[in-house]
Amino acid sequence: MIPELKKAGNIHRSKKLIPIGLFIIFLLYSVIHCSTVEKSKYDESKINLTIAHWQLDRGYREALSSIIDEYQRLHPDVQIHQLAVSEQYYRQLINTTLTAEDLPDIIELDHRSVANIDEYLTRYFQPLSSYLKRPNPYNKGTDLEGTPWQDTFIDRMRTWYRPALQDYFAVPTSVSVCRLFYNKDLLREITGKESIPKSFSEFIKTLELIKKYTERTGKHIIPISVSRYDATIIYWRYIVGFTANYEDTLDMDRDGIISGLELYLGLKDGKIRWDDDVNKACYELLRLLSNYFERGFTAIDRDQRTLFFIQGRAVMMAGTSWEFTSISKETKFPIGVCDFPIPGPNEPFGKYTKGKLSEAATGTAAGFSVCRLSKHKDKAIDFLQFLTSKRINEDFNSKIDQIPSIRGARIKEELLPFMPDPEGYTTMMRWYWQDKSRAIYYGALLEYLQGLISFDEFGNIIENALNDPHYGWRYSLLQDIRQMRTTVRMQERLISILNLDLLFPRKIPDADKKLKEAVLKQIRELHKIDIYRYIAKNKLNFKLE
Amino acid sequence: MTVRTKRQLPVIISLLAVMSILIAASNPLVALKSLLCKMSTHKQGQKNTEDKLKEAWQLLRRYDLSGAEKILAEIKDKIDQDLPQYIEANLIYAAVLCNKDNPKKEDIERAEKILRQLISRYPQNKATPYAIMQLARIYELEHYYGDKPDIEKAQDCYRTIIEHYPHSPLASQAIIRLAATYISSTERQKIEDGIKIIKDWLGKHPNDKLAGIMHLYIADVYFLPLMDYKKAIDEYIKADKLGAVDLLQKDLIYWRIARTADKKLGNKAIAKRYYRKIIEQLPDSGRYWQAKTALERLESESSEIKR
Repeated sequence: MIPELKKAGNIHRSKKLIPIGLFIIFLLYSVIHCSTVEKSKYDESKINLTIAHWQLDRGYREALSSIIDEYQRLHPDVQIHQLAVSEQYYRQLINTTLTAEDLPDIIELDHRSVANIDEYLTRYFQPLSSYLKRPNPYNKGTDLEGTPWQDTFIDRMRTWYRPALQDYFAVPTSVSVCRLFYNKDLLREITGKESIPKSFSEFIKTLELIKKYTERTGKHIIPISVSRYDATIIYWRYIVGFTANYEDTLDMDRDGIISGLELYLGLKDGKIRWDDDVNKACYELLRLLSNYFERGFTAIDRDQRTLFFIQGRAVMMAGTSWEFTSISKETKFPIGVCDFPIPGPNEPFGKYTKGKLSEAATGTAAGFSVCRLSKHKDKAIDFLQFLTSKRINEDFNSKIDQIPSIRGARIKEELLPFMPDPEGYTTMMRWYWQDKSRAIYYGALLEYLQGLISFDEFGNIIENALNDPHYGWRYSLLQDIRQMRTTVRMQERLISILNLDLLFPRKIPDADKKLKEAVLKQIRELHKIDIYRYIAKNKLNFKLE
Repeated sequence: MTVRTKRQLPVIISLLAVMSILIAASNPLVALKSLLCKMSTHKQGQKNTEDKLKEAWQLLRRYDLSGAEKILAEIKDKIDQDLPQYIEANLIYAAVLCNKDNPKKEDIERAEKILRQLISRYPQNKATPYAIMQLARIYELEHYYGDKPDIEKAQDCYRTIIEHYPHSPLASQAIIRLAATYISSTERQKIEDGIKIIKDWLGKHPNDKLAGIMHLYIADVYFLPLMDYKKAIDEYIKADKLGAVDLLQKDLIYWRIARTADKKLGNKAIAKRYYRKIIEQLPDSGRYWQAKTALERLESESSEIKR
């Protein structure tokens, strides 16, 4: 080979080696970097805890990190790692890690994952009642010092109690409340108003002005942006005001709930009719309100409805306190927040509505559980105590713009409109009984709201569903009893174990009290079955096998 | 024989004697050794059993009944029948068979057999009423498809506990269970017989540990289906005084008392007292605002009457 060619060949070969060399350097760098990162993150000499959640809202991870840093400063032997996963994949993560018995030490409890099923909950998560009875040590020096941890939560943990297991398996960090958000600039531009009127008739006039603006200008502006999910929440907020009228007539057992059986008996005995003025007014109001939602809102999801609002294509939006901050950070316009206006005594529908939905019993949210298999359960619980101590919970919620779950913890001024309002009613009456008539009710409701069927046709569908020989009241009655029997069996299991624990003391905490509670709950559930059987025989002429 | 040999003779004889003694004693030594060895194995076995029993309890506390069942099935017959662990393992095993998910006919039959054996073998043991109670539950509840409850047999078991083991902690549970077998009837007379069983017991045992629960239960029965609201409210108030209402969602019971006294009995004093209890004790109840407005109404009515 001539020298020139040989030289060129060498150059060519060395050129070929460049990418390989670069690759090797990159690989080496990656290995070294990964090992150092791993080393710095998972310091084996320390107690490593992982906390998994799906809160990807702006600022949440940073806020949690700062709380973690503060905790780590107090406990230098502990390192806490955040595992933030999108809502879409969170359930899969929990279900998979649960099956593999490799759960993170602390997880945010997702109501839709298998972790929320009693059987799994008790097997994989730490019962917390014995911890909740003792004061939270991190409340020392505050007015909550010496108060049992459980009593420091605004709902005294009522939301998180699992009756069948007689225990608590998660502690909440915040509170979530639904309100109406509005674009202040757009509202002013279209209606000349600075805020949403409190009067229901004025509210409807405002919505009408927005609708006319669209017709007049050709600009498509949605009066209220809702998803199919929010629409149901809004409807129930209004329905309660009307159905509270039926409480004294229909709520036979005075438990504050008009059950499917009570509804059916009321219908059968003529105590209630579909075309009662109250009921008619209730559904007319829902139809009127739905006229101001985006057409086809039943196919709109939460992200889409938020997008309409953020882009300035909607004046109002139904949203929760959870979303408020992330939405306000995304928008360029100021956002106002108000409650849903309720018809007053001298307004249309006012004659038939008793008032608003009471938020006194608003529960707490964002509950964190401790994995039973965690090697450092006590440290994990200690961290949750830290997170839900008065000062830290206030600080944490202030950073994430949420309502604290702890009594007396201050709430940020801009979140004051989200404060739960105790005024109002809680008695709901649903025009369905069990799953099958429920599906028919919702289908017919949407058809009615979109003007596809009349009020009377809607009523016929509902009454036919309740009387259907296959999925009507007989099916629903049996379904109710089946569910009650499941509860009875779960209590039976609990009673049996607790009785044995008292006989051969194996120290289940509070076994005596738990036993009393289980016996009482089981006997009341059995009695409820008896009542159903009694009514079936004596009032419905239906013999249960 | 030399003088030297003569001198060594006693030594040789004593050596032979020691050897013969050792040979003779060798058998008992072996026996002793084997006994000691056996004792240690037994002790080890006992320790293993105790560990396994503890493990079964741990699983039970997690409601992992199938896990506990496996362990108990393995150890229950290996334990010496004179040891208390024998009764414990067998009784728990029977309870697990009855309470596990989807028990089969064979499971229930096996549990019944074990319980009957325990009852006949240890009639005076403190665990016997528990075995009888479990047997009663087998008869009263439906455990598998096609299982036919035998209420009369269950009632016999409850009566046996009440009459033969009146000091057992299970006697008061048996009273509630026995009364419930009558109350579950759809006939008014039988329901009243059930109430009488509880009332008679409470007459004799007013300080029973479950007295509050008993009052609450008969209050529920008076309320529905008997619709004797006055008696119902009296019993609810007794249950409240004994702290039984604390075991439930308190606001619902208080609401029931106040609302019934207000609307059905016209007893404003009781209505006011219980509306006030909701307002003062349960401000985070969904009934708070309604109780407040109802109390205001009753108070304004009273002031109008005074005027």
